[in-house]
Amino acid sequence: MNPEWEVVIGLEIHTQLATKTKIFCGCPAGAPEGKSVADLGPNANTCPVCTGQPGALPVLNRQVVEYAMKAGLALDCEIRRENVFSRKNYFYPDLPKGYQISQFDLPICEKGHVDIEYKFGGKEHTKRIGVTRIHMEEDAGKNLHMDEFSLVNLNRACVPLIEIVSEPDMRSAEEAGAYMRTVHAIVTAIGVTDGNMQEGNFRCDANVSVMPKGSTKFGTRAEIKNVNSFRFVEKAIEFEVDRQIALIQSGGRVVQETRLWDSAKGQTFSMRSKEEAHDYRYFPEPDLIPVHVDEKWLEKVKASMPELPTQKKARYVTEFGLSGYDAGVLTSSSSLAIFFEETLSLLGGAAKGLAKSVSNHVAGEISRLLNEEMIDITAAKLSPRHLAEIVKLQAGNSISSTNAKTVIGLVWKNGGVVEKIIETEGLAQVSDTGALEKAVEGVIAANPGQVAEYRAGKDKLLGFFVGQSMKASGGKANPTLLQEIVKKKLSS
Amino acid sequence: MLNEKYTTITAIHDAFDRKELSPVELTRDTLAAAKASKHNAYLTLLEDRAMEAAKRADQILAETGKVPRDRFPLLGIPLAIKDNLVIDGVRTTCASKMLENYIPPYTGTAVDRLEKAGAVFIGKTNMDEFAMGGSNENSAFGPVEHPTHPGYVPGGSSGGSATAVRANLCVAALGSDTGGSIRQPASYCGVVGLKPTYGRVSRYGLVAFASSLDQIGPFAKNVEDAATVLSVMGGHDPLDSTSSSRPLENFVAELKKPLDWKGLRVGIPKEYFIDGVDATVAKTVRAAIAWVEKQGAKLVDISLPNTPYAVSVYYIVAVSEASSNLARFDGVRFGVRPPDAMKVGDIADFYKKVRANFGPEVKRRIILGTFALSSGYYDAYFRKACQVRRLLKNDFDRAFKDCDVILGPIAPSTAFKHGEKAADPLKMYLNDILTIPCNLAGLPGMSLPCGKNEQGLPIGLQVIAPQFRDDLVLRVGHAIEKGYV
Amino acid sequence: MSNSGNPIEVNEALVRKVADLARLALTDAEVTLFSTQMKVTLGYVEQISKATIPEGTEPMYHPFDMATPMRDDTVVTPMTTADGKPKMIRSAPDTLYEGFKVPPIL
Repeated sequence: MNPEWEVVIGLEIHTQLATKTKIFCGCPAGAPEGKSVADLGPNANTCPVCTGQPGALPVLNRQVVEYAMKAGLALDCEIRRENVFSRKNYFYPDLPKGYQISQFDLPICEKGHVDIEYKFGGKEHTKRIGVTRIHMEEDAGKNLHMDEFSLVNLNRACVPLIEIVSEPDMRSAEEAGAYMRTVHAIVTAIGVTDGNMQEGNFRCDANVSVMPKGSTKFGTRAEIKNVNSFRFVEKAIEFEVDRQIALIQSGGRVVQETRLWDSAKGQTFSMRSKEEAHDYRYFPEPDLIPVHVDEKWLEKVKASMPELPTQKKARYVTEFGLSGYDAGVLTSSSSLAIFFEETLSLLGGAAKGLAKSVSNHVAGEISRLLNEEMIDITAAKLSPRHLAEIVKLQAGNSISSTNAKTVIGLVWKNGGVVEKIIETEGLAQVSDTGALEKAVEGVIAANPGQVAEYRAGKDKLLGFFVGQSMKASGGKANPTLLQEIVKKKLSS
Repeated sequence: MLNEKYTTITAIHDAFDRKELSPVELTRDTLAAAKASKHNAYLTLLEDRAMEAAKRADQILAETGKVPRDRFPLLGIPLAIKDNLVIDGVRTTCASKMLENYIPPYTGTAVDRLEKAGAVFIGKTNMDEFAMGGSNENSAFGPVEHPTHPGYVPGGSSGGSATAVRANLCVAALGSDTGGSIRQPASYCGVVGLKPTYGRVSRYGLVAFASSLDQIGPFAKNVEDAATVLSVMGGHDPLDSTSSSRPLENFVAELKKPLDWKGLRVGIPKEYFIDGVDATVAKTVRAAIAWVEKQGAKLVDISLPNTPYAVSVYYIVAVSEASSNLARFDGVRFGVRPPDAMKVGDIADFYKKVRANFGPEVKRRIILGTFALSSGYYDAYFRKACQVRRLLKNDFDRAFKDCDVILGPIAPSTAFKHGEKAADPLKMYLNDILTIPCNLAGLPGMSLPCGKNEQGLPIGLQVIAPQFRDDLVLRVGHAIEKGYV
Repeated sequence: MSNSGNPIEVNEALVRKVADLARLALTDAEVTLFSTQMKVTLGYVEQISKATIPEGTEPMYHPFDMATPMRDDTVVTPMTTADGKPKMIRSAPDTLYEGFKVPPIL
């Protein structure tokens, strides 16, 4: 990062709520069970309300309000007891009514925050990011662009969204990425969204500006629209920061504009230069009266809140003695936490003692593989049953920790039965004292010089003998046992 | 013609009971009269649909012998529907070129309830385009002729419905009232017109002009028929978030209760008898009020001091909401699209080509409303107007501490001649000053014929009550109608 | 009158700007006529600035105070026509593959 410049980032996260129906009508919000929205025919999920037929009126889906409240509670927001829908007026073919029903000056949630943790420069950092507001709104439809014309599909029109708006509190791409990951972990953990980023159900707009270090006046910001991956948001911000600094340094000025991220080119580009200044003419939606949230309802929603990732994380640290970082990785997605806990439950009475080992594998090798393939743990061939078995065998010294990793990698690729894999691949650990003694004796006999030095007091050479003996065992020796034998033989 | 002989719901149902008239006969004659009429009251006649409904009514009568009034309170009754109320499969134009070919895919709640009660829909009535106007001269399909005085306007925007009722081209009709669009034409044409309390009738299926002001209501020959229609179509609708969940009274039964004149306090607002009100109108209305006093009612002088602001508030709020409500007419999902609309360089030009189909008054109001909501002017216009709207509502709340109902004129004048005010939009707007306050405050208001001027043009008496006291409006109106008119 | 209380000048440029925002194409004659009429109408409605509005008067956006009713999250099956197509495209001026056809957007 450029030491002379300070970066200011705020994120607006849009996430689709996991309701069965749309926000203002009874049309299905998604595809039927087992199908993708891509399988739906154009305009199959539409009615007079979501196509903006003359005379049709919106009626609010209670579940949407409840999900928005849950998200607000999870992000430590205040819940506004009387919140108001407004119309945001603009023309676009995918916007059937000529206005979007959204919330403007009186949103349902305000003044929250999220604590993020991330590693940067080899160190762990924590920071509190302010959440300005969360509001409910309807999504627009989709335009399919052809050469000669476009086709409008309104299946997505009126699907419920919440928009989570942060304060401009982030100062680096890493912080922005960590914030987006943390918010994703929270909203998926409480079940208000499926968080599916490929389908665009969790996406963000990043407002990015730069200013000379020490300045208190923010620079002109550019908005990068519709980024739907954690890594892309980091890359897009990095690119945008470099672009803005280079622009200013070469005597140019940053213009306030909307930009898009091109992941293939690794660049942001301006969406439209002739984009007119928007005047959305917000006013309170006359077809909907203000939403009232009474004490009883709020208490009910509070009582229904599941354990939040931060609470879960704290519990993992105290209950299982995990490091804060590992506990953070395990709770970064609810499916990963479920995987971890299912593995523990399969270990029964041994769970507590083996939790650290399970955690090492999940936060280590398994997370690495997940990131590499960009999949969710639920889509992996490796099951909690596999991992429980591997951890048990490792604890019983039947396989080494290195080979445990190897087994995980093999199951990851092809699935299969753990014991069989160990057998066919010859990964079992040798704990046969006789066999190991023979190997050690061989090493001692072959290195008389080093033996003499060791016996003369050069303790450091112990590692050399252990390493050589391990090599002789084909890497399968139980390392603890091996060390004992080496020590014994050298001192005798 | 049977439609001339049998003109009210009660008379028709009695005739059905006596077997001297059948729904099919009545419908056939009504359709014939509508077809022969030169009033331009109907934009679409529903001959097939009406005859089918009449035949169904005949069948029901054949089975039941007498009209099952509880289940089918409107059995075989020919009704007209303003052309801004949607019916599945029936062309709905809002008297606009924009929707010349629009076939809605659903039926609105109020209309649906009437049909289920046995009503026969004769046709869709002419109106000012998108209900914007007070003379019916803003229809893209030509003005409506006054039912009794050729050369005069029937009033608007529900001019077609008022005319159809008065000219016996139907028994009763539906209109919509945003700033007087039911009451004013009812007054001009000499029929009963009721704007119910906001939220009493579902707006689902009413093409919105100004959502916080619009309300569907009936035109009828008498108060009892209006009460019958309201009883059928009113009440909560889960499809309209602004429809009230209060239980609906049986208004027809309410009318049977004798009115206690001596316990009634009648408010007379001094602001409703200002200079602009025609002397004959004022005199005629005062005569009706004097009769009410003679029956034992107590007259109370009241003041609604913010009345002078009503037109300003209305024309800011209504056009602002309208500018947004009419944004959906973009030629994408429905409506007329000019043949060259696809050949544009920019999507903005596409919209402009399509929206050229709006008439001048609609364009004028969209521009005014867009302006009032735009950045830099919102607080000074829209927000301030909504504040003054509250003051107007407070005026009524205060007044209703001293009185039970309010009586006054409907419009400053009687029906005027075609073209008389067409060139001056503001003059036309000011004509609504006495009907607008009810819409701004959400109150029920009714126009009841109470006399005529020298040329025989009808004059309406306005009856206003607190929110959700539609029963009181109807009972007082009914009592005056029985004893005075 | 603007938010800041300054009088506004209604001229043809303003009418054109607002018409553009509302996606209305006006002829020159309409622009001239509308700006004259808008001047008169705004001149009249500006009288509301003379109303005595007590401190704290909440703007009234709805005729009566109640909480918005809400519906359950229950699916209502979308309507189709006899040929199995979505009913909502029935009255569309131009469709292709059941999508609404519009000029190219990007």
